[in-house]
Amino acid sequence: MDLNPAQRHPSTPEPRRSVVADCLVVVALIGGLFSLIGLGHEFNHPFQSKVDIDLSPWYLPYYTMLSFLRGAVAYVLSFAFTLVYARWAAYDRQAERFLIPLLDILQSMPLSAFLVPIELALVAIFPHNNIGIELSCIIVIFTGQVWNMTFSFYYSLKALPADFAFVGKLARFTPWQKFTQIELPFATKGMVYNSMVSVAGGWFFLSIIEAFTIGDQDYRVKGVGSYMSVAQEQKNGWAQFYAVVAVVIMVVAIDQLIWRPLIVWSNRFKIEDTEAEFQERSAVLRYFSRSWVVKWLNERFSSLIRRPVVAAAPTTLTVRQPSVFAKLYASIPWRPIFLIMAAVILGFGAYSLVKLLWAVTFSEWLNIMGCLLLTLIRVLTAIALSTLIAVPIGVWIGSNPKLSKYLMPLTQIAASFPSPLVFPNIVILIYLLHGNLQWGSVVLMMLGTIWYILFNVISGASAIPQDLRACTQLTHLKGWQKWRTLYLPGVFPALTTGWITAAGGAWNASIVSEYVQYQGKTETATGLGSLIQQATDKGQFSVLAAAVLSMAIFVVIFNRFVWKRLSAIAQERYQFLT
Amino acid sequence: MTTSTATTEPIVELIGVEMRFGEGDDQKMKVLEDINLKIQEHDVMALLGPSGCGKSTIMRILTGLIKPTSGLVKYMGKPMPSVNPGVAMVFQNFALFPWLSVRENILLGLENSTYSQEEKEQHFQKIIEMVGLDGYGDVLPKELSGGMKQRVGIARALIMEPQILCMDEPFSALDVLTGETLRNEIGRIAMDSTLGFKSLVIVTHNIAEAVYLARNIVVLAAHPGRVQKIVHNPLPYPRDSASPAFQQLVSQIHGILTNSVLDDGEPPATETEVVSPGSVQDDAYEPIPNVTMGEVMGLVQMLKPEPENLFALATRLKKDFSTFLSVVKAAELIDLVETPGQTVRLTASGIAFQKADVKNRKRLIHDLLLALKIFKHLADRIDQSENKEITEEEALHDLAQIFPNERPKILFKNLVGWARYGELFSFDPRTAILKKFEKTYLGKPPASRLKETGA
Repeated sequence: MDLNPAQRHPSTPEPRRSVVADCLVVVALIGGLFSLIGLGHEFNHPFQSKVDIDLSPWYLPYYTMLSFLRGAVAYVLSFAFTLVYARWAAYDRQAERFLIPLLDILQSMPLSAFLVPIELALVAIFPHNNIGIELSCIIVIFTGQVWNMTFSFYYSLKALPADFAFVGKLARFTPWQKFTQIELPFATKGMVYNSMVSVAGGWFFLSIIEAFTIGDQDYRVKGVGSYMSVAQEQKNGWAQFYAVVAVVIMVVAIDQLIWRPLIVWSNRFKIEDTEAEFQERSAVLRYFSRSWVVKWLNERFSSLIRRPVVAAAPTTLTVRQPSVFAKLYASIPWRPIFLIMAAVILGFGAYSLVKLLWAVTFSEWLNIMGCLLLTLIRVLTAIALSTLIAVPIGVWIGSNPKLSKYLMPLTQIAASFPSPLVFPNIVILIYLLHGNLQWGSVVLMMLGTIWYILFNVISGASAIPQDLRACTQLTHLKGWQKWRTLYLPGVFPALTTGWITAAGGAWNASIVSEYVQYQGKTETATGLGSLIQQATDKGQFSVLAAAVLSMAIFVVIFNRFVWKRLSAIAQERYQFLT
Repeated sequence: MTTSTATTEPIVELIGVEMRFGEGDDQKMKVLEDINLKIQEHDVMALLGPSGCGKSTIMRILTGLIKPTSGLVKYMGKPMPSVNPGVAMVFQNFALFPWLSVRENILLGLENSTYSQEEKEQHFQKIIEMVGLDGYGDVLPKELSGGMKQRVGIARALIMEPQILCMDEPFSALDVLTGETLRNEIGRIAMDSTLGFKSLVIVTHNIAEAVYLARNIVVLAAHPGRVQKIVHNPLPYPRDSASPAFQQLVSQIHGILTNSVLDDGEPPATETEVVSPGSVQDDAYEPIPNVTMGEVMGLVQMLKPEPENLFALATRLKKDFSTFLSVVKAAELIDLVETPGQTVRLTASGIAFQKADVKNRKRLIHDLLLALKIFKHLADRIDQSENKEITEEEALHDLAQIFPNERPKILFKNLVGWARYGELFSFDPRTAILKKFEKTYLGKPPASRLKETGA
């Protein structure tokens, strides 16, 4: 056997200390900085009645970068919010009883119902420049991302083993050290996964709000969403194609350059000591971890994190004198102040709401309820159809490890693609096929929902134990018997998880799938989503408030009493034995 | 159904079966080599061997759950259809459907039978009484203890009236006492001719279990899995594990296993009917066993300079015999112990190791490891590379070439573990780079790093 190392690997002389990697890092940093400056410039741009978009593909990277940065800024805000809110809920038992149910409601709320009021309110506050629109973009993306992440961090903190906290106490960690050395590492895995889901949700809303017009009013801002909508208006096929490509590239790049490396990196925070035989790998992470720039940044950054920021831990058992600020901080009655503030805000909100709702007539209420019913039927139909399609495909993919290894990331990416971008194109197709939006909007909803179901079914099917499969083979179960005994019950818990996400997605999509503007025309389907849009268009704020409120309350209740209950039954009855 | 000709015809026959796993030419690993087995009617066969000998794979091949890479599987004299129609299986981890009640789980075995509803009910009553699950029919599996779960698994297999009842380590997920009870019951059931099944095949790593149950004990060797010897067990049922004849058979099998694990490749001189042990490997490179350095150190610390009987030692350490043998083999490989006959004793380096302090122990292991060709090879590769480091893929590629019958990834993991202990190499899983070990200091960074970052 010839094992002369010099001859063995002619094909893999890989440059390890890569200058290219260094350059890429530097270029990315500088590029990010300049785009941020560009976004700041957009904020100060005077308000125009019509968005100023150049359809030349050369501008597209810039627009895409703006969209990405809106998402990134919102993500940073979400992260900050998460740290504060989740820690508060986890460590303050009294506040927890109030904060967690609130979070649960906010999470299941159909956010896009509030999209219109938020946009209108902020434009009214900043009528002269783009700040209002830009802020509403960021706020909408933020609210699309944040609840999920906050829940994840909260659960991680609650699950923090007491031993770790003891270690921190014994080593006299400062709060900052406890946070960076214990809490953050412990929560990292969950946070990375939930960030992925959250950011994908964020693109959905971004694509809607960047392209937001209602009646004759144009609230669009520069970005890939508005590029697409202008291209659709001008029937510029190539530009539409470029925009879709740009979004796909953005989603894939985020997946490959940010999430994959983060997932691999976060694996080192696994608490179990056992090493899985199958380890996730990221070529990107490995490539860049060989860059000196990254190494240098990493060393600076990690020493910063390990530093006991508040005060050096005392080496002997001396009682530290609290500083003047700490005394002052402790003397302020935070809780009463907070409660009073909350009561005032809530009271004022309730008062204005009641005043608005007072004006809604009985027949308008009836109309709202009828529309709600219609939209509910569409949502349920979309979920039922998605399930019918996704379950057989998902089981087939999930039962085939090689296939699911490749297709699972693809469905994740497909789920991150903001489907509202292509709604107008689909509508044209529907009308070409002599359909109408009354049922066509179900198809639009399915574009967003089916991926969540598919993704969950694949992961559920690939978790079915090999022995159970072997058992159905050896007992010679066939066709439907196999589905009834093994596959359907086996994927049911995962399916219910998919349904919760899909239902949320479908309600959100109702706003844009029942009211589609394309090529200067507006198509509507009777339903709560289009009612909200039309009420805004006509300035009927009472009806708008009533419709938004009805949808929010109904979705929260439906979520609690149908989806969550189904999911609980599934977890209880259909979970595999360990 | 049994005719005079059928008695000589085996139910299942494996002829020259070979199995390879993995993807790509580099990763393809041979797990089974030239397996020839006949499962006759009224046979009770145990497949016995160390981990990695492919005993569960053989069982899955004879059930038809997986297809061998090459070779022939015959069922009743003809090539076997996709799934063996005459087989039922009991799984190590029970494989019960959590959403079906005990009754529904058991009746799955009759789902596709031609029995009427009434006959199914009769069968069910008979089986559920026999396995002692009376009154548990409507219970869900998660409410049962491990022993009871396995009774459901056994009932589901028995109700199918299979020609061959296959059991894949059926007692190893249970606690010792429960396992013992169930084993005795299986022994009783195996004797019960009123039950439908004719033959029993059981996979186990427990020698006493094999001797207690089996008529024929197939002792397997690992890397690649092959038949070392088939031991016939003529002891009459019910067997008494305390009897001298029983003990004698147990120690005979210990001997065979010891030879198979410790003298890999060489046929034991005293045995005559040994099946070909497979290709003799390039003896310059020794694959390292799947054990940790900690286990090896633990063993070496227990030993005395005088030889000790391997089996007695394994019993004293309450270790599974074949696992224990792997540890002994590892220690022998790095020359800390030697194994004359059925005994083990310390070598000169072993004695030196016992006397040394932590620092010198590491130094000693460092030198002993470098004396092994595979560590030397990797060290040379690192030295000859441009950056004095190699990637995991490069190492895996080498390992796959040198040891075609081993799983490169597991081998690599063990190599890295050993090398870390001997402060030979360091491996960073995040960059997947293997390089020579260098001491790092807490507090101030080493001078080289300061220079590189320009600080």
